[in-house]
Amino acid sequence: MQKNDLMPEEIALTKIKKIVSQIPGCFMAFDLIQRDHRLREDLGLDSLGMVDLMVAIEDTFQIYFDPLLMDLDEAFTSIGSITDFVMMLKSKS
Amino acid sequence: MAKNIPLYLVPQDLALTDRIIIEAATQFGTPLFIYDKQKLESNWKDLVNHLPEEIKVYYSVKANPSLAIIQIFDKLGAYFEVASIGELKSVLEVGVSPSRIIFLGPGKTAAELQYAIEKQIYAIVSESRREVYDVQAYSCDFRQTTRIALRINPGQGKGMLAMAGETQFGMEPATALGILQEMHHLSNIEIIGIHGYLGTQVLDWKVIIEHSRRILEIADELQQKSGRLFSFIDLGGGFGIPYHESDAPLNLPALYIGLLDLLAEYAEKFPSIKNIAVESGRFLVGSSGVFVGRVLDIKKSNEQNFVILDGGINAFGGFDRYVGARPTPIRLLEKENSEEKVLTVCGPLCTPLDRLAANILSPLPKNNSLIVFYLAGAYGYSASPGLFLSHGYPLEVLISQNESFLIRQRISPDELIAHQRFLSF
Repeated sequence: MQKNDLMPEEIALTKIKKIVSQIPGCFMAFDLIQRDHRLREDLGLDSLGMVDLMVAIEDTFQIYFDPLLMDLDEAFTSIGSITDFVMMLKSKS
Repeated sequence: MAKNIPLYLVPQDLALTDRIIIEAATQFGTPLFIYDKQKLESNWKDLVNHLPEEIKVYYSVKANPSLAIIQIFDKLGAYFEVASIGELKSVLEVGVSPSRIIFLGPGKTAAELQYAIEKQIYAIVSESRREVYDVQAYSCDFRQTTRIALRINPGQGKGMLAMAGETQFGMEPATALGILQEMHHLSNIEIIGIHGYLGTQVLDWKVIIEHSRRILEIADELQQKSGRLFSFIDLGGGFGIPYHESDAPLNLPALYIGLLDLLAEYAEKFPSIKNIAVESGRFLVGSSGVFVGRVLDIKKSNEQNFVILDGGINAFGGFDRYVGARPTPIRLLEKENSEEKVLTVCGPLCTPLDRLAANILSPLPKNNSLIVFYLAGAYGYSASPGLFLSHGYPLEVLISQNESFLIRQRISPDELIAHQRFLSF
């Protein structure tokens, strides 16, 4: 594993908050988004927003979400669940 | 947010020139699918030449079930994998020999099983113990012996993230062993081997080898434990093609060497083997086809540019899990000017989900011009929700030696109405 693959959780969390705040439909500003905010219920993302979010996270973290092998619904529940998922994927890659 | 269009993923040898596309669109109307016969043939050669000689390639009809496409693969010497009575009838209609057909799918009706048994296809791939006993009962009625391959579901493949739930396909190896041990109850059945399909759209050759190895391991174990020898092993397939910027093409030479080594390693364990199968749909047809729509409107709304086509996800929207958010290669045939903008290409449906390419960096097209979507040959026409919004279905054209042939007529809105019935009370 290369050194720059090691990513403290705080950095991942900040990046994810930033990405989510830029998704059309998200009605909360970056600095107000919290770890336990739920994407649909608390932040207002719709199904297209979820797809845009998935793509943006894939690109940012250079990872790939495989819907056949992963439970993406569960991973994309809240800011925290995405962060945990990304950290787990990065640690396995 | 704006994304580049990965036009470099358009196959170099695709014979669908602008002139051919414009002529076909003018002659037959839009939206339409156009396939290149030569490309279907070169894809076939590409795959077959990179597989060990003893492997037979089964065309997965679900990827593109059009009769003309089936015909082309039949002429090339393909075997066929069908997953419904409709697909089975299509393949037989074309004149494919039943001995070249296998029938799989997690749920088969009595009528489907009886039809397949009566036609004496090469094998029914059974996905549960119950289905095996149904086949036994129907085969007994027909006073026939039916060949069965057992579809195995080994759970999550090795090295994967074991998170997703199990799929509905196949049976556990232990169930398969149970069936092999109760063959005395199955006098009208010959279990010829096993089938496994562990992945789809796989671009890493090592994963395909890993999947194949897993199936061979299970086959070996089942042979040893049951004391029976297999003549058929279906390794599945899942040969992918690159659609998006981040995709790298499957390394076929490496796959070839990997499979040669693997088969050599296992050769001794399968003394009765006659048929080692792989299945392919997407790899064979995906890059051969384009989807073409005509621009109905171009507008700017809330600082975003939208291009509206006469066909959207109703015509070409089956299997893009990114819903347009990750662009596939598309090309405008006529541009307004060369200035690049961020635009979203949508279809005519009244849903925000109807987008074929979102936020791409591209000049604006001319009104009434054509937009071509490449890599549209697999899971395009037949995997799209064509009834949604009652626009009718697009048509399909095949190009051979610069000549175009209509292979599937458009289904008009009138026809969608005609096969319905009024209430009579």
